[in-house]
Amino acid sequence: MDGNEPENEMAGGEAEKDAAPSFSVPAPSTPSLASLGGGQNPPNGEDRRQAVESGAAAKPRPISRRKLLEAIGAVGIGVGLGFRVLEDPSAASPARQRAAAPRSTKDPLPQWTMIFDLRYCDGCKACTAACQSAHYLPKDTEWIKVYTLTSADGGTYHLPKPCMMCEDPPCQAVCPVGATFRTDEGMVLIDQNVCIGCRTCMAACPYESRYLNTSPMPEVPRQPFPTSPEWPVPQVVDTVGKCIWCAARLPSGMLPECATSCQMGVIYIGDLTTDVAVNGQGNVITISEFLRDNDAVRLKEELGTNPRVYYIPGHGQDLSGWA
Amino acid sequence: MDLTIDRSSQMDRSLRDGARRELREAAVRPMLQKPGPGYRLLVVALGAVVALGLVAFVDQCVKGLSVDDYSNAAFWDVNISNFITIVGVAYGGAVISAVLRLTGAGWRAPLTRIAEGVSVVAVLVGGACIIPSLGRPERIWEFFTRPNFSSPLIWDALAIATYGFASVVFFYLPLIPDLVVAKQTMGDRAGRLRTALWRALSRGWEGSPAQHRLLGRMTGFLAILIIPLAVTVHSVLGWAFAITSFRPWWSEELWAPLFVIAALYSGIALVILSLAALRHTYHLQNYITDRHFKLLGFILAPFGATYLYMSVADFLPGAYHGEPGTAAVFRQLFVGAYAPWFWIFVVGGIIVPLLIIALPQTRRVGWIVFAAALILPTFWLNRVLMVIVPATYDMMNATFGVYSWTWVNASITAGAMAAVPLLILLLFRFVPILSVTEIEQLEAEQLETEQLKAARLEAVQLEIAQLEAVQLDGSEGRVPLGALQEEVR
Amino acid sequence: MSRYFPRGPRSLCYRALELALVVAAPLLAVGLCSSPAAFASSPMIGMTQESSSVTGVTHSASTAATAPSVLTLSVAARPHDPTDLTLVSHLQSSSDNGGKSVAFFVVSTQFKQPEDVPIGTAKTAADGTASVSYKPTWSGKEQFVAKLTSPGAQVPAATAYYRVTASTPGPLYAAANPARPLSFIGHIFLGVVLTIVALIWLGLIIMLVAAVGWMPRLAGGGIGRRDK
Repeated sequence: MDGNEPENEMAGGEAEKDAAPSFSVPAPSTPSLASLGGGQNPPNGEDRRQAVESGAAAKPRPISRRKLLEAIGAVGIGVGLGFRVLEDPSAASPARQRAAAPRSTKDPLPQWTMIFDLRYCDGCKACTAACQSAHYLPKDTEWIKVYTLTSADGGTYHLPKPCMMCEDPPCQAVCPVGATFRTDEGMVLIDQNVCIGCRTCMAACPYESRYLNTSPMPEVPRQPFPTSPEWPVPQVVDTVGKCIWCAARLPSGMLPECATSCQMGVIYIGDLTTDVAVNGQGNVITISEFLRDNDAVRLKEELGTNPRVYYIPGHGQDLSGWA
Repeated sequence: MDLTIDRSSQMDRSLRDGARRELREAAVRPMLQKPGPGYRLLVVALGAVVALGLVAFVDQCVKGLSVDDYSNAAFWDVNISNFITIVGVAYGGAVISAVLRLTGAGWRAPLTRIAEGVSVVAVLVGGACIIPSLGRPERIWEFFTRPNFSSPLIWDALAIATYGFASVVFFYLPLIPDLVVAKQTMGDRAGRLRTALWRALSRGWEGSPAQHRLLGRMTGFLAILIIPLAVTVHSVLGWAFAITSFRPWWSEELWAPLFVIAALYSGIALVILSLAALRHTYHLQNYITDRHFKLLGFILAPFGATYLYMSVADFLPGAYHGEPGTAAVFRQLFVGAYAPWFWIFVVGGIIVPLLIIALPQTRRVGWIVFAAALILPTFWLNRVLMVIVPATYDMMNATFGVYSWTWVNASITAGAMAAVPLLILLLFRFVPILSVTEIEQLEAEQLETEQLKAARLEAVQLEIAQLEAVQLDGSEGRVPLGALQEEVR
Repeated sequence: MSRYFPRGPRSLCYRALELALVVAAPLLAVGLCSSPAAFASSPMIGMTQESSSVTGVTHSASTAATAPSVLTLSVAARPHDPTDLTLVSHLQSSSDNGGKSVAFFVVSTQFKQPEDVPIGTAKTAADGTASVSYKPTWSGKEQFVAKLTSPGAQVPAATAYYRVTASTPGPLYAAANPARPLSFIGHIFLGVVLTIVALIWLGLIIMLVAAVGWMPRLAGGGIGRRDK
């Protein structure tokens, strides 16, 4: 009976505030309900008030039929359509939601990539600070780490290094419990509810991109989103964490924390499918042309990990195969 | 002729009975003797160290890895070295029992129980040693609910579980007849616990030929099976470094065989040490003789030499090429911060024991036991260097981190090391220390062989006598006397 | 509803339910509104042009003081290849139309702000037309922009909309997810190894069971009944 009512009330709505609604109500056992339902009483305001007042429980404030119908109608709409949100368990995970509803049913999934234009990096480490602050990391956990290195001509240059999001990630292959996984968009993420803290992934990563969380962990205020591999805040103690390219932001087109904080516009985030990349300063490039024109390289190419991070050297430094 | 044999066999039988009684009494001596004050003190001391290790482990579980002074620059710790060391020394049992059985070396018989017992204890303690290295040990069940089969650690878990199970079965099967013998020998002195345990474990054993045949076949099959299992276990452990990582020194193809040889070498050393200790404590010199130690030393030496050769083969190409990462790690080992420990290992663990066994003057029980006592700690040191030095190497900026020792990881290490002798001491209060049935079987076979030889000898001597009689007669028979005399000799 | 509220509409449980429904309904509605699945993310909802171009919608309102120069843009697909578009811009100005350089862009909203992604430049021919070809990398209603980049130009940019029906991913996409034809080897090998391990375990269990269960039945004919 209750199931029928909302549908009918949706159709009827407020226009029928005085007409006899068609929901089925048993023969009114009390004069009060009879005035709200059935078509058995005259829709007379005076009579209705009298009937209500003469009801079994004489309450001071009457409730009108209109109000009830409105409430039921709103509930019906809300419940009926709200299930579309509530029943989707991946509502909490932006990456999975994105995968479930791509821009167009014909388009392939985005394949994220990052480009570092080292011509402009001055080693200020704003990226490191912003990342640590956004994810509430301890001081010595630098998910994006800026190295200061000597180039062939004796000068120094700076190299920020996030997680490489390898296409053949050694960390994923060696994790004994499969806590590290790679999504179809190319993001390598960690489920810290599974991680046993064996640090084999730290042994495997040739880029030293992974960090174990040990106590004391920084105090983390209550987060607006539940903890997930795409938004791993707060980090779980005694498990391994790493840069995740702010995976929770990418599906809605927001840039990772490091990219937005870089004042020099060094850090580009892009999509290999659409061939478009932007940096935090509003520059937009076509990835394939940008990489080709600027002789981009990847780190430790010879290891066969196929990283998704490209570097534009620009100072003549040799980025291939050092250390 | 028959009368002579009969009389000698009677004497032999009574001698054999006396010897058999002595053997059985010796086998249950650890259980018969009331434990002396020295024994009690040792057990209490070892138990205290093990308890300290457990307390440290619980502290780590409660407070997390930060009590180990963990730093991301040194991500793997000494627990992994303990794991490799203790699982490695479990190989001694495999070699002594299985390989010597398959090659028909009868002298192994008095050693097998102790060797197999040490092996079982080592596998169990060693397998447990990996738990303190995990950040979230309570999630260890995920190894079974969601294993990732591309990970060498899962291969490790599978291999050690299988090898542990096989070791236990291999220990148990020859034990069945021995428990019946022990019950017979000890009678009521065994006590209720032991009697109940033995009855449960050796139900229905009566020593019938069919039972012996079945047991022999199963043990033989298991001996064949356990050798590839043992090789697999330590190969997989080597691959946990070589495959997992691109790090210098770890990513070497040689590490799987290297680990196997090191395990065999240190396993035999532990068996030598255990034999010496137990022989001295329970006065088993009649059964575990000096000759056994010399033979074990002869087995130890080739493994040591092989390990020396493999170490050179491990270091030489990397040091020659001088790739930046490999060169940095080797520099640390040969001349850098870790150099004293590395050279102590090379000299004390490989060179000195080899010399001890090579020189006839030092090829004596005391020296061989000293060599074994050198090998065990230096090989633990080797495993510590193997785990920690490349782990502290930063692959991006070619610097080294520092591994810090705290009371937690030192206590856990000490506890693990103390658990092995403690469990061995306690084990032989429940099972006979000598594999009586096997010894008697082998002696019976030997006796049979000797009897056959004696019978053959008598037949040949009779023939010679007859031929000599014929010769004295001057008959023309050609006498192959020389050949017969040769045969007599 | 009466049978659920026998004591009438002003009973406590009725009022509580009413309160809950009235409070919950707007919350659900709000939750519903904030679900991105409910709305398309493209800001170009409502543009209904299906097929080819719309010409001459100018960006800015400013015009030159004298006869205004106009830049127009049209987008069309190649006859038999819907993934290949040709963008043609036409410059009409009082001065010379030829030899001016025109930059073409496609507007991407993938990263929140609409960004002009450069897709090529061309010089105008004598009649003022310049064209580039472009393989779109995503589908849907796309906005294309042409700008005159010659110095001193005051010509407003031209915009065209086109609904892309077929796209090809960028040049680096193929290498990003390479095919792995030999991956079956790993599965076969794993199957073989696990089978061997399972057989070993089975063998060990059988031996244990035999030792405990079968062995007693082989008694008899032995050296004599032993003391159990």
